Amino acid sequence: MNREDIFKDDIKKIFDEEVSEMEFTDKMMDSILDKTTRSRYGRIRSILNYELQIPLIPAAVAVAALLAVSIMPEGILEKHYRFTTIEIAGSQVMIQEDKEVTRK
Amino acid sequence: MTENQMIDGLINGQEDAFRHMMLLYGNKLLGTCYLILRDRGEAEDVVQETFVRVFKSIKSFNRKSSLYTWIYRIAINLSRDTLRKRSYDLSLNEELIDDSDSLNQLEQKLHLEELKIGLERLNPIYREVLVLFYYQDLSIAQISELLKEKEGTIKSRLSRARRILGEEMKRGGSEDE
Repeated sequence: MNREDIFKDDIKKIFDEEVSEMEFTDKMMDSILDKTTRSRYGRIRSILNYELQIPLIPAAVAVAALLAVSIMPEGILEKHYRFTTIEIAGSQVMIQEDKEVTRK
Repeated sequence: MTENQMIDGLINGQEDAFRHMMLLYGNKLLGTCYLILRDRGEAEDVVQETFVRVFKSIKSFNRKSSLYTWIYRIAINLSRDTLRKRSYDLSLNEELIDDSDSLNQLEQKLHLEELKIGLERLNPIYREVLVLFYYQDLSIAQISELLKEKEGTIKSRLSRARRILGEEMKRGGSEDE
């Protein structure tokens, strides 16, 4: 069986290259375990233990926004209008004291 | 964990034992199925089905062969079923080969690309033996046990496969016959 040696290294190299990106993943393993050994409780536990990947920057922005809203004094964004009611010729007129500057 | 402990764990339905077995054989089994089937999705399906069957029928494993051999036999049979579904012609052409007339005449320098083309065109029944022999590093005796074929048959298939590859390389990997 010595003649096999002229192919041996090359065939092995080709096969190794072909499978280089093949990997038996945790996801595959979990899927098999779900079909076999795991009880319903085990399946729920595996879902709860599943590793979550959270994008850092959007998460930080969201946390900062939540924090800002929670520490902001209550009512700071609310607008309080003061009205004065006067009577002119038997009619009641409400005058708003706030001024709004708008561009025309 | 020894093989016997692992088998005991599997029989008792222990997840740890099952996980250990998959970590031990999963990658290599997936590679082997992929090399035989040449389709990633089908290879993954076969590996999953293999492990499910191992789990379901571990109690019938009689420990006469190694667990490794038993698992690979299931995987190879499932791969063959998949190939049959694809309508590959798996008919065996096991004519006796005269070993003296072929490889000595080959050029010594082998071209990987030509060899790749040859491997791609190879009948799955020959490719299967090459994968087990070259990729899995199994001996003729181990392949014979795994495939439940005589050692002479395995030798003949290997010889035939090499000869086909040699002829393919002589032609330079071209489509012309």
